[in-house]
Amino acid sequence: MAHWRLLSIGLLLLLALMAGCGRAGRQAAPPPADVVLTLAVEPEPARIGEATLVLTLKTSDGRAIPDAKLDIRGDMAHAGMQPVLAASDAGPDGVYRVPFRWTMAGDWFVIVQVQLPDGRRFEQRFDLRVAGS
Amino acid sequence: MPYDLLHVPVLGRFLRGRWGRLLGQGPLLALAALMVYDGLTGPPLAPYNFATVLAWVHYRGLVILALVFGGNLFCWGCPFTLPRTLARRFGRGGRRWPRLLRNKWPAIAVLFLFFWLYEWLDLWASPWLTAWVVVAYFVAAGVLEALFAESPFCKYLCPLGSFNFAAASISPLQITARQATVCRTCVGKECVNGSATVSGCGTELFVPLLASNRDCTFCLDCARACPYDNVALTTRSPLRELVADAWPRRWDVSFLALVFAFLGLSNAFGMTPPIYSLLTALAVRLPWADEALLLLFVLAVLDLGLPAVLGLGAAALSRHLAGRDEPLRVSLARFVPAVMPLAVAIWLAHYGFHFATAALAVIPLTQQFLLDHGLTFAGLRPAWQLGPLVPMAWLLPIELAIVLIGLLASLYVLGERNRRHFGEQATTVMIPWVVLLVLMAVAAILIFSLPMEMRGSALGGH
Repeated sequence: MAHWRLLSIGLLLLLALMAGCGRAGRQAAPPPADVVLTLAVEPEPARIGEATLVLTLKTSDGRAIPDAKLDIRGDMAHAGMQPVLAASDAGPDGVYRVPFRWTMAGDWFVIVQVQLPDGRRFEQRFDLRVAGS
Repeated sequence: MPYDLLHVPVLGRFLRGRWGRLLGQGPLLALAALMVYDGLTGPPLAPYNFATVLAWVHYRGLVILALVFGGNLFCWGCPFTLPRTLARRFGRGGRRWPRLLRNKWPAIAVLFLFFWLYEWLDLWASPWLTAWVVVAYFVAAGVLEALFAESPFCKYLCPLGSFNFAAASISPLQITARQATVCRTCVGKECVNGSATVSGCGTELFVPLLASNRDCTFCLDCARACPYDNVALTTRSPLRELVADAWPRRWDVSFLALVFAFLGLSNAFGMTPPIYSLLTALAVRLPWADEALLLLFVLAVLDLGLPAVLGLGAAALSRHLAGRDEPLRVSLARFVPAVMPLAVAIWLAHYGFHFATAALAVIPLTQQFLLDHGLTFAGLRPAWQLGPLVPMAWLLPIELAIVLIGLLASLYVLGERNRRHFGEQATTVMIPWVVLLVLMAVAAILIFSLPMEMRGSALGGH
């Protein structure tokens, strides 16, 4: 009986520890303080079907960053949908226009992984809702 | 001619062996541990986390496929019963589950509660909550087993078990006695009472009386306990249990079948745009605007109210058409098994869709998980483009075909039961049930034909 209680307490402590911890390996680098990435979608508001993601990359004092490399992944809030993948490495005036497709209505998140011309990397997430056709 | 899997060379010996069940429980326990670990510590986004992907894509898809093409394999491999076994050893079991609760009403209540929580808390979008659901299963199974002599969690409460028991009514495998005469002369009844070394049936089923898969977890304790090697795991016609009068004529058993069927419709309906329009409209008209209460109201109507009204209505009409003076409970039980093929088909179409859409997503997910833990042998770039098992354009026709096959099977069962109870001529008696089945199939086809829409409040983690 004592063993059973000890095992239960140990498991509960382990669960509490896990619940309180995030795994360090999964922490993506946040945007640097001197860089601003924004997302607009066309058409706006987002509707199911073909679309364009308009990602604008600038320094915090407003200068365009034209030669970054962007990897984009769109996912729905739930598991079980194929992600929509896209990429861009050409952004005149820091504006990267990326063809995209919203495959289903509902809650989406778009994760943009950026490699800046100076080699720094970061990741930013945008949440949005896509309407039905 | 039934085929006994327990007497297939190697396989049968293995299944009946003391550690045979661990082949299923071991891997599923490891996966459950992975889900808890990733759910509590991993990415908060559902598509990137084992907890949500394995629970809501793979488990649901594989469990319904296993039930349709095999049997209750996921109860057989259920890892929640492992701590239960420990609890049995160390706990103070012996008390009986309250007599008032020894029926399917608690199962119906917990099943409904589970699906309400699923919709309200958007469990499908939250790895963190999904992990706690897994933990809750372990705790509930362990505590109840420690407190009570039988296995009340499996038999009376577990929503997964209730789902599996219901769907297993069309499974092609069933536990039976090899020779009834052996059981008649058996003194110890070890299959249910257990022996000195092996437990008897956890849900207290007596093998020679088994006519259905209801409450059978496929644990095979009965086969291990039987001193005469007289327990078989045989193949059968998937519709045999439903055509025969294998179910008791009880309100709770009949109502569980109806609720199981309507849950299938409402669970799929919950992924379409009209549910959001309905909730918005109700929020304006009803005195409460709280999402939890609105969903409780809508699901209570769809999952409890509709099956009660339509099921009892069909039973009352068919009783009237038959001109029989019998309890409504009996009239309901007479035809309700015919609902099951269509009900299982609706679940198969829905869960099979998600599985076919994203089964391969587990590959990039594993690659990412390994990368996050510093392991690069599976590749440096996860293959996120992987997902569907079949072209997406095939999915709707497959779903519709499954529903139609389910409807035809249901109509066959209905006709056979009608013939058995009322003879060849009295075909009008079953008309109310034909109408109900067709309405359900049409509803399923309409739902599956709608564009999907999934909204959740769980974006951004827990």
